[in-house]
Amino acid sequence: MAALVPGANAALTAENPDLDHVVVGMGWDTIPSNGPQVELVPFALMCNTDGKAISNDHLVFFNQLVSADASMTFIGDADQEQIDVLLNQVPQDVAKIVFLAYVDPEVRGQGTFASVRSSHIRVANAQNRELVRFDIAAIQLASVTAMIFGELYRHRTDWKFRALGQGYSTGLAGVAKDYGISL
Amino acid sequence: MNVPATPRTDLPFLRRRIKPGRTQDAPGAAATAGLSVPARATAPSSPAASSPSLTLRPQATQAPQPPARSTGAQRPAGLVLGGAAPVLATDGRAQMLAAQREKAQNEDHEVQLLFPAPGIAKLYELNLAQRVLRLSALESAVGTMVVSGCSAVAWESVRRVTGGATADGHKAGTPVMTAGNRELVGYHGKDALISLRHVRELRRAIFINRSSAAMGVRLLSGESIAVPPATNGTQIVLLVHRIGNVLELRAEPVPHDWPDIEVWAEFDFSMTHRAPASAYGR
Repeated sequence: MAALVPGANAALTAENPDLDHVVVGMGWDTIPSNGPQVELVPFALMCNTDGKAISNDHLVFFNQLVSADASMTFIGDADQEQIDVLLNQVPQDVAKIVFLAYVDPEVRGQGTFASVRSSHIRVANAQNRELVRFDIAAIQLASVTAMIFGELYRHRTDWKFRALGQGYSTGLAGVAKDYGISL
Repeated sequence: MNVPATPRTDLPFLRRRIKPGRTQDAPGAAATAGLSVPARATAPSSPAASSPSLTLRPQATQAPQPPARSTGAQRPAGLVLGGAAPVLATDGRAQMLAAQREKAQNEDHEVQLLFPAPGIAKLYELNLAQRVLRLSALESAVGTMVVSGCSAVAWESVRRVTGGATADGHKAGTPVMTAGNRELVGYHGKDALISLRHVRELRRAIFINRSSAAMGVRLLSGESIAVPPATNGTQIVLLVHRIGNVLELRAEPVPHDWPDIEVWAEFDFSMTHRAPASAYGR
């Protein structure tokens, strides 16, 4: 298992030639509250070479469990949320898959990542052997309402993973604007 | 009854009707049918081979098997009572993932069967001429649906928990609380809300307008739609119901002079109540 720092990348298929299936787990702890709580929503989207989402059908989250090409599936298990990616079935026009979490923009008190601890993303194989892990530092998150945890991306014929930890203060709307998602 | 000269050993339910001694007559017949049939003919002394009774469970020699679709194998055309699915050589976790993938693929299949309906961006008003619109999966799940100008709301969760509330604070039935400590459907000030983060817990909700002004529905994206007030003795109730992973909004006419309770009855809402502790007689 390799622990990454922000911006670092790790070769997945080059190091594991038989790897055709990964499970990306995203997890966190939320500081409990008796009142309205911050609710994080994990989200994954497939992007083309321009870095834009291919379509609204090429993303998965709790209300769209399977991508249009069926290569990416949203499942729940030991991590808080898991996204199952069949690497060999990802369409060739997908250059990268971005994994993020946003704070649900609820009008009755939205909250921020300030009340979130121990955020992490991990990539494991189908047998749950962890390949890489990225723990996100909980600093300067008071205004962050969405965060890109990391991305799977093509490098020539291989797949690699990059740790990011890039925060947005504009929430899902900001992410949607950057990646061309129509909300 | 005529007994065929060549017994149909390729069909398990027919084969079970043949006396045990005769099943050994054609041991290779099952293999040509493309089914995974336990090799009972080669082990006549085993209990399975000698038992003429119907077995609904997989044979004891087989490992628990995942759904056939997850392996990419073809589904058998007929009814499978167990034991006929192909055996995978993969480990348990891979099987679990495959089963979850299949479950996810099947979960919202009914949405593909729906007739076309316009989206919220295509309309500016839901009325008796244009009575239905459908949101996308993303629109149905992000943020809050805000309904302004609504005098009363009633809801039903997927667990059939039902309740109602009015803009001036009256309540009936049972609220549905979400994991974020917010009501799934309720009021925030004078606006009625649906917490879309938990849309999967919602079955349906109705919004009643007693005022002379229109109701408005607004989403996170800024898209909105109006529902006109009562005219000619008819009021329009806004019905929001979930089909798979999308919300459908419908304008439903009811007589203007009906009280809320009659509107609930028309939509088959029956308020659920928490029994008081004093009703517990032990």
